[in-house]
Amino acid sequence: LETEIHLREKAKLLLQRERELFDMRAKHEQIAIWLSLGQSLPELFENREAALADICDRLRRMLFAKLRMQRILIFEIQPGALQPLAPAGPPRSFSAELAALLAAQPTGMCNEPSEPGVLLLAETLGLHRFIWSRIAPSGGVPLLMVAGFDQSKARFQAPFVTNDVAHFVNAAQHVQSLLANALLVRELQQERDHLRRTNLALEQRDRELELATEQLRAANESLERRIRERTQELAGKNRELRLVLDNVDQALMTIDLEGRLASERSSMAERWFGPGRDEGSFVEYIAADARSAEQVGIGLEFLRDAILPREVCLDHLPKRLTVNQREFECRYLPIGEEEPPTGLLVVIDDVTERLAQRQQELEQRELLAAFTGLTRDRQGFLAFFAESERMIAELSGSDAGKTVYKYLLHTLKGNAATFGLHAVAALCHAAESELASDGRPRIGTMERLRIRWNGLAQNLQAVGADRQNCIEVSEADLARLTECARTGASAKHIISELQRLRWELIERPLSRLAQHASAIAPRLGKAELDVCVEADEVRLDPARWAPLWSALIHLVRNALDHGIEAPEQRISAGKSARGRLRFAARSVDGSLLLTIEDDGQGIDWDAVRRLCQERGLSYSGQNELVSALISPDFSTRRGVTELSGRGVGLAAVAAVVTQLGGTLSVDTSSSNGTRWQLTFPIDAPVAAAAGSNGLNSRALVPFSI
Amino acid sequence: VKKILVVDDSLSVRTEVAEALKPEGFDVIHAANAREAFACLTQHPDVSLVVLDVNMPGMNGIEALEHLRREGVVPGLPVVMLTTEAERSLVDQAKKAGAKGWLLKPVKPHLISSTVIKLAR
Repeated sequence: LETEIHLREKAKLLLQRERELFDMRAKHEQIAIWLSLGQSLPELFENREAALADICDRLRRMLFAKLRMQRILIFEIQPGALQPLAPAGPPRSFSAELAALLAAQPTGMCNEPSEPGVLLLAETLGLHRFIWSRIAPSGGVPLLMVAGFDQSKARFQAPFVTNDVAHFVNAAQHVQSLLANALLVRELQQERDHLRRTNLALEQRDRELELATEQLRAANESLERRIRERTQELAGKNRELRLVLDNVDQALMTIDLEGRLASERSSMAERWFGPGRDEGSFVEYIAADARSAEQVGIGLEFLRDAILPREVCLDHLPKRLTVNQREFECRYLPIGEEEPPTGLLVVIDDVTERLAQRQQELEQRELLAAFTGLTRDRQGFLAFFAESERMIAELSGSDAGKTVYKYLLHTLKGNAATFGLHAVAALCHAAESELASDGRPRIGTMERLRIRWNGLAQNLQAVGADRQNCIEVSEADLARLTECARTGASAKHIISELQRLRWELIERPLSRLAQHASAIAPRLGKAELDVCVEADEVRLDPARWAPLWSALIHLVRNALDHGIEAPEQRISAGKSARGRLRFAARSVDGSLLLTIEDDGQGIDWDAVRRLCQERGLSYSGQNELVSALISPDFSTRRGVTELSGRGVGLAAVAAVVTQLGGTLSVDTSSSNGTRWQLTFPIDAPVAAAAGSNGLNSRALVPFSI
Repeated sequence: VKKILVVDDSLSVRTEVAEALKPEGFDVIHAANAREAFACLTQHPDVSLVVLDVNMPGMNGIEALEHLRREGVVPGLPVVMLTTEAERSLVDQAKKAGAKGWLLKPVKPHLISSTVIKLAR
């Protein structure tokens, strides 16, 4: 029995040892499984490119193979949801309670769900007996790994023990480190890829930059080459321009609208006006007189204002210039199309020689005219010449007053023009203008007039024209004298007839006036003019009557300038387009009746009245008006021309008429024109001149209207 | 048709100015002195421009211009002066009185017409 008891105990012990051995073996086996699992895990991460879902899928398969579990689930923990990664499936709700549970218990086991939190987890996972572990790899999303059984299978499984949890957690942590490593490696890989890409991009950029630099360098070289070429071209052009400026026979310079000089000038400019300085004043440079300087100022001001058309502004700039006794002609070309122009190119020509030549030609033509006049009408011309000579001598006298000067110049001008002596007439006109503006003619002008006259006189003397002791005898005169002698006329009568040969037929001077009228009419826009001369056979002493013919030129000019209208005006006034001027001389009972009439617009008595009023003259009666009309300095016109308008004409006529003992009357109307009637005693002695020149004698002239 | 008033005591100057303007299609009216010019402007307020001689018997051109401005006759009417020589003092006086421009005698038809074409209102 004892032995039996002993044996039973021994058997019991053996059974126990057997059980212990079995347990040990099972435990050992389990440890081996976890160990093998741990060793296998790194395989999952060998493929570095694998996606997280693939890795999880393979992890799940591996766990299936190694562990004897019904279900293995891996989720991604998202805010508010558990997203199954392996196996794939719809997301499950993940409440705040569950989140709190996992935060408090990242790992755990459940053999029989009883606590509310774990119960909720079990329901969410659909498991009854399970272990879990939260994996939170650094740098990645948190995962939840679960292994276990549902309620039906859990009955046949031994409950989990702490060791199981430890092994599971160990595996999970292993997975977590591997995942973290993989993530890090991936991140590094990405970083490296990024770096490589950046590097590539930088290299690419570098190559592009090099290319751009190369292109820039090439462009720069080509630019420099072109600049060199252009600079050379410009220098060439400058040389050409300088060549032009050095050789052109004009002074060329540019000025701005303030009248300042630019730097470049032609050599001729420097020769004529000196070196000058840049930005210097143009008028100072060309040594312009005060008047020209003023004209430059006004012209440039108008250009700057840019109100008037530029050609009108340019018209104000001086066209002539006298420097060091040289005559210059100036032209101005605006620079730039815009208004106002940026400046002017001034082109100056030396016209001294050209002017001298023109003057010479004018003088030659004048000489020719003098010879023609002498040939055509010897007596008339010589009378004119003697009369003019006397006036020039009087003009040279220093004591002549302004009024006398004016009268003499005006008469001389008229006479000279009648005989075609235009150079003399022009000088008289210049002197008249100077007298009007400065109070006396310039000495130079009077000197030129004297020189010109002496030149003419010398030329005429050379051909013996000054010999007065020649008498022209016409065929008719000769026939009449012969007839007198043949019929036995008295010696006294024949002597008287011979004496009269010295005198000229009145038709001669009247024809000269008519000729003069026809010659000047076109210059006054009165081209359509009929002039007629009707004269009885009256002979007059040319020396005595010469002053009258000189003075009558004024009357003729008045008739043309103020009387006879322009053709259109005549037509609109109901007159014929052609104007009419008539000279008539009749001998009636020992008197000479001289008529000069035109069919113009008549004397404007209203204008005469207004002028009387302005000048404080009495004008109540017609006689006083006529008296005013023939007074010196009285002109109803202000437009002074070379031909008339100086207000001396009628006064001169009145003076001479008085001198010859005659009377003067005027009859005028706007429809019939103006008729001047002069009556002289033919055989009466010449009336004594009133005063020294007869100009103050208008009160002595009897007239009738 | 623009109407231009030409004021000059010389008939031949008035005629020359009119001859220059007629081919350009302007209607030209005349006055021989300031008084006539004032009457003309009262009668023709539609005048587009006045060409005004400076040296005239009675009231001269600049005095006439000053009178026009003072009396406010046709305000803003462009006036162009006309003389043989432009003197600084006269130019300044005329500018002050509102003259638009200044033309020189003898009359050059193309300058008269280009000025009137440019300045007539």
